[in-house]
Amino acid sequence: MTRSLENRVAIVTGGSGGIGGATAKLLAQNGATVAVADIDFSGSEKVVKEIIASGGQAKAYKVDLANEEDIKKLVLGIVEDFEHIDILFNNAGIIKRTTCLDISAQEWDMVFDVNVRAIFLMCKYVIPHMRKVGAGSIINTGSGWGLKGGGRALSYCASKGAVVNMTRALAIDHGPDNIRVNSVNPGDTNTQMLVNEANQLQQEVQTFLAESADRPLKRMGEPIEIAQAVLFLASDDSSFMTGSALVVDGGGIA
Amino acid sequence: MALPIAPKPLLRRFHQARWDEPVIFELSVPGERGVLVSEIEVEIGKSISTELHPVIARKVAPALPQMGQMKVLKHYLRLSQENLGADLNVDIGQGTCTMKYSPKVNDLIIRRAELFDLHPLQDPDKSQGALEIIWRTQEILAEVSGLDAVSLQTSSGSAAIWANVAMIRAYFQSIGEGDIRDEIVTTIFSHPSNAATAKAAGYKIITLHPDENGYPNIEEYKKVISHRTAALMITNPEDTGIFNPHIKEIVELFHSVGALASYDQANANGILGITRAKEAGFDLCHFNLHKTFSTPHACGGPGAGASCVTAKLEKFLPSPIIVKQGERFILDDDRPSSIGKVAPFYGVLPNIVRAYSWIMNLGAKGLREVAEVAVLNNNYLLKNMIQIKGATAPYAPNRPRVEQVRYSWNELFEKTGITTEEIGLRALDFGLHYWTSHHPFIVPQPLTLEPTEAYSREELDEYLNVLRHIAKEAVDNPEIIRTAPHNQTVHQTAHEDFDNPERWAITWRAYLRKYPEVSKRKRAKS
Repeated sequence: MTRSLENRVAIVTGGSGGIGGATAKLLAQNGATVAVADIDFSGSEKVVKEIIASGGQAKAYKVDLANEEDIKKLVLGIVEDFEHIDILFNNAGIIKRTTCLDISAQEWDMVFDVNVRAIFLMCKYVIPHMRKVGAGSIINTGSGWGLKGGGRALSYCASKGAVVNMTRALAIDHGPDNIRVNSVNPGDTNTQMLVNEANQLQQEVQTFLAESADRPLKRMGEPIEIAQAVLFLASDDSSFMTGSALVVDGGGIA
Repeated sequence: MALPIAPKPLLRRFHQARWDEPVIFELSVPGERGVLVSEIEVEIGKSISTELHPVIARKVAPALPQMGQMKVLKHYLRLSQENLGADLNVDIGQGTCTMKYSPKVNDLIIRRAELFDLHPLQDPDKSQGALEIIWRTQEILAEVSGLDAVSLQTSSGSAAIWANVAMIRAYFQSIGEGDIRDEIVTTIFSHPSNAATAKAAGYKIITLHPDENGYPNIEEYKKVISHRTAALMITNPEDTGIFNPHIKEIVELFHSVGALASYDQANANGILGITRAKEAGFDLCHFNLHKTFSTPHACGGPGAGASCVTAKLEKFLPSPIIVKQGERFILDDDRPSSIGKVAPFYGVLPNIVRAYSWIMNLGAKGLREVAEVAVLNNNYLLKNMIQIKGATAPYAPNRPRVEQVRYSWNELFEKTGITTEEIGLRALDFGLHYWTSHHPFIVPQPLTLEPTEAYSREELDEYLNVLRHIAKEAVDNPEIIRTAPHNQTVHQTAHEDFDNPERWAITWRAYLRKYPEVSKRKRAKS
């Protein structure tokens, strides 16, 4: 098994969050230098501190993924710092728990800007650098709700459906460049996002979290369990996988 | 033979008292006492310990002035005679502060033992009356604003605005948008506390400026709002007294990008019962009980602030809240999403009681009448002010204002070189004063007048006559203005001294507050 990511540079967007933070740390444990990018700079710095304290290498970057100029600057900055990019984990995402009736057009745009457009723009600015290296692995965070529908989450479901299929299109376009593109599709994972969803729905947090256990494995996932799937897709262990949607959801959409 | 009585001149022949009164510490005479405390009876003294616990026993006597009662009374009476202030002068010049009558009957009410002798840590079962008054006042303000829940915990308007910003921040953090939304939009004529509290909460402030109508065009808002916007924080009507008729549209704009809208209702005196935060779509608003609702301003406080929110923000209100359970009132502190405490205890009880009493005295119809008379008084003043040569009311020409106006002496200044500050000092010679404006002086040579409903027409005419007279003096006899005040306790003060602690610090402790490094050096040496 070759899990070693020695000498590889990985970008993790949404790196201060639950899944992003766990993945950044796991990639670093396996030898990667990690660029932790998030709109929450102090959260990213916290993750970076933990990586460095464990003997890894990482740096924090602030980015508003809804802003193309910010994305350009981010990629330039990472290349300046680390010279090359080998792994891109497009993980940043937001959720608005509404039907079509309670979301405005601008709020819909905001969800798509962060969840979908940012993935397109990150690929646009990173892939040229992966081409220079002659290889790359891109992992996009989709969702079980990108493969099946979900209630009171219209913009999220639409955006994650887009992520799953754009992953396939990217794989087709860039396979010849030896760049693999796959999606990881988590089910309910124990992160702050679930608490935020409960608050958005004005539901009692504990009741809401208990419902997340309604799946074959009878529990929600832990961020490290999603991170392990990302590590697999980032490493040479998945060398013949591209355009696939890896579901990590405790059997939720089985 | 009856002596002839001369007619009163148009302008009051006012002269402030001058007592040349020293500071109270200079009046101290060692051994003098205001109150002689009775000796303990011998038998009681034998049976109890008169030793103070070492933690509270002083080693050095407090440096309090030692004075008899009559001397204390004289001292403060004399100081009061050397000031214009509450209850004394026609205070319509203190614009935005809504200087109305604070009915003395309400002072009697709050001195009742059932209220005055309460301690906030008393068992709530023993303070049901006080809790009921707070709860009822909350309910009334919910109705006045149209919103769903109210906190009266804070002691000032700015603190209530802070509570609102803290709730905005907590709301977005709870739904996962706290990091994305880091901008707040306000206007230059909104109270500076909106920008200041938002900045203190970590937001980037975007400030919009007015067009010729006196408020920012809605297109300006469209240019600055985005997915980064947390909220609009706006005073309306603004300090110019101009009501933005597009306020509902503007709030909808902010809602369309998922942002909140917070209404600074410090200037509510002209809109009570006429328009509400709810109908304009606001998520939060605040009131100052010491402005609209008549409680005294005291020594720059304590006032009393009210934060009002819609149902979705209720869980973030400062804790504890007062809740009615059946016929009982309880303090509910079990509120995990609350922003916590923003002030000690539950609010400034004396001011809440005064406001409650004032509101109940007037009733809903009376509150509406307050607004109507305040608007009438203000527009009477406006019509007459702009007829004074040299005075203008910038923005919105020929349009009525709500409860106050920011005027400008700029025309007079350009003709005579006399500034608004100089005119203000000359007004003191007639027992009147005015406030200019918040900085920056967007309106040049400003003065902001707010008559409220409390003043009679005669008092408004007195004020107008004085300003009319001074405006004429600016042309005919400017020197008398430049060297004003003449009838005051002191003449002109050197403003440079305000920045020099060597001059203004009258105690060593005050001096050290300005120069803490001095005490650091002393501590390092020892």
